[in-house]
Amino acid sequence: MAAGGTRAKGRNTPLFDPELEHLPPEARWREWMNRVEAVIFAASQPVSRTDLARVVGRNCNIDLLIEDIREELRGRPYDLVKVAGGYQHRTRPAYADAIRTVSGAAERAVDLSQSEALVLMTIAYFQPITRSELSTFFGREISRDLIASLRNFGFIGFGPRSPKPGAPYTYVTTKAFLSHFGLETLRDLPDYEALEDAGLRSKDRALAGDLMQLKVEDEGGE
Amino acid sequence: MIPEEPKKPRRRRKPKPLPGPLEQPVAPAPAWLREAARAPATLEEASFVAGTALAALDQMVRRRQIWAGLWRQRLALAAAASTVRRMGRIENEEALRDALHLTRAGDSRGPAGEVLIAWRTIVRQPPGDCLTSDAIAAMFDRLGRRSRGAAETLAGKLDEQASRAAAISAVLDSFELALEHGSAPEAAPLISDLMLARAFGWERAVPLIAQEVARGGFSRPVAGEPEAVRTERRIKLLGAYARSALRAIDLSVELGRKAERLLEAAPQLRAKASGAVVEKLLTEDSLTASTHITGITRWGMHRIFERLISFGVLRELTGRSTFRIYGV
Repeated sequence: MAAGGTRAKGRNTPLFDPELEHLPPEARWREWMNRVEAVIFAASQPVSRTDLARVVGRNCNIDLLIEDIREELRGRPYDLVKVAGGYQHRTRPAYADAIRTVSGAAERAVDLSQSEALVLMTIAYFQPITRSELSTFFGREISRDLIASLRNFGFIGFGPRSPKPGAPYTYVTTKAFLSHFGLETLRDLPDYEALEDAGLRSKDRALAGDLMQLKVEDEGGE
Repeated sequence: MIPEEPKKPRRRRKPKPLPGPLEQPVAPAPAWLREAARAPATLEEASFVAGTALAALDQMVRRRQIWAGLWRQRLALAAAASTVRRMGRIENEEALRDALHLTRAGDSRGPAGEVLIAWRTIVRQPPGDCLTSDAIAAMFDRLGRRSRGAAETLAGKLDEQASRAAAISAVLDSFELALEHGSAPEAAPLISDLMLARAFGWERAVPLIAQEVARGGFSRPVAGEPEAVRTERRIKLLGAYARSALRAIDLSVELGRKAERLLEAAPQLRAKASGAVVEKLLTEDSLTASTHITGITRWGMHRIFERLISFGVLRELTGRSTFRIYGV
């Protein structure tokens, strides 16, 4: 569908000129900067470099272009940032309060409850992980509804199925998760390395305490 | 009573002809080379040892054995496991196999599964195709680093340097370049293995040094360091290539033997598509019964696998009684 759309667009606008050779270099650069910023401004999602490259000349260095744009935005309350493989306009954190005051309702759309946030972070650190493993982790049932709401936000998706009875799905985080929390990679999660050094990256080891208890109870029952 | 006519022997359906005759098994590497590759001290020694080991490997690759696919995939799996470990994750080879086989189409394989896919991609496509900026960007993406810019820069640098430097220097330098420009130190072994394959004119890359460089200070570029440090890095890399070439040869000896036994047992299989199954077993690291092969159902696959296991030429790799994964 998307490919078809692109092709159609290409056919309808054969006169679009990315190179701009008739302009003097400075004006050309200015025009490219404007185009890139306009494209990013108009998009609802982060815009990838491949897409940006389509509106500028072949030998244009996009990194320098972005740098120049950011330089111009220095005094503004918003900035051009790189998230999840693309560029996007983001307001500076200092103005979060002001925005929330006015558009509190809109912000609620991705307002995670505390338990949702906890489950999401657990999935991020220990993915791929099943719902029953999550339940063991928290020592209480993690409901399907909670998982479903995280899925509705687009933060988690289905991973490989776990080789256990019933072949439950595991859950993994998505690109939207990285984008929303402003992370480039999973390694940017806070204290990832510290967790690794403490030997707690292992799901099984982190679960071991509870699992041993379960085992003891089983034996006691017999 | 009419004497019964002697019963015609029931004509057995001939099994599908097996793929190609078996070639000479690979000779294991000499003991002196193994000893010398352990820790070469000088650049001369390291170059000589690496050259000898890589030449032996080159010969082996050029024979294009029918189990080369299996061999490459096993190496890719081991390389992916060490890459994953280096990224600070805890998945081992079994977990990677599970991620590969138990993910349904359209679902995510998870961060570790994607690393395995990155390695499997480079052993499936010609090395030249894997070194374009798009392919490198896709590789970074699979390694969990999304930076289109770095991929473009790296592809450009690699091309420029491949045309300038001699083949082996280009391979060694590509490791440095990947560390410097890649923003993904995990990509360095993939890149330099690809460069090696391209330099040697192999049709597919062979995953080599990932296991050797998984530890021991290979994560930092040394371009800005003094001469002695850079030489040290080259010696280490050459040593790593020598050892990993020997390891690859050892694996090929082992797999060659197993493949031979599989091919000997295969004519006893009577199912129609058993030729295709055996061929698939020799090109893939592992299969499940639901692997799609034309002309055979998953129950048929199960029977073939069970029979091959009873001949002792196939293994169930997971030790589970369900979700079984089979491999040579």
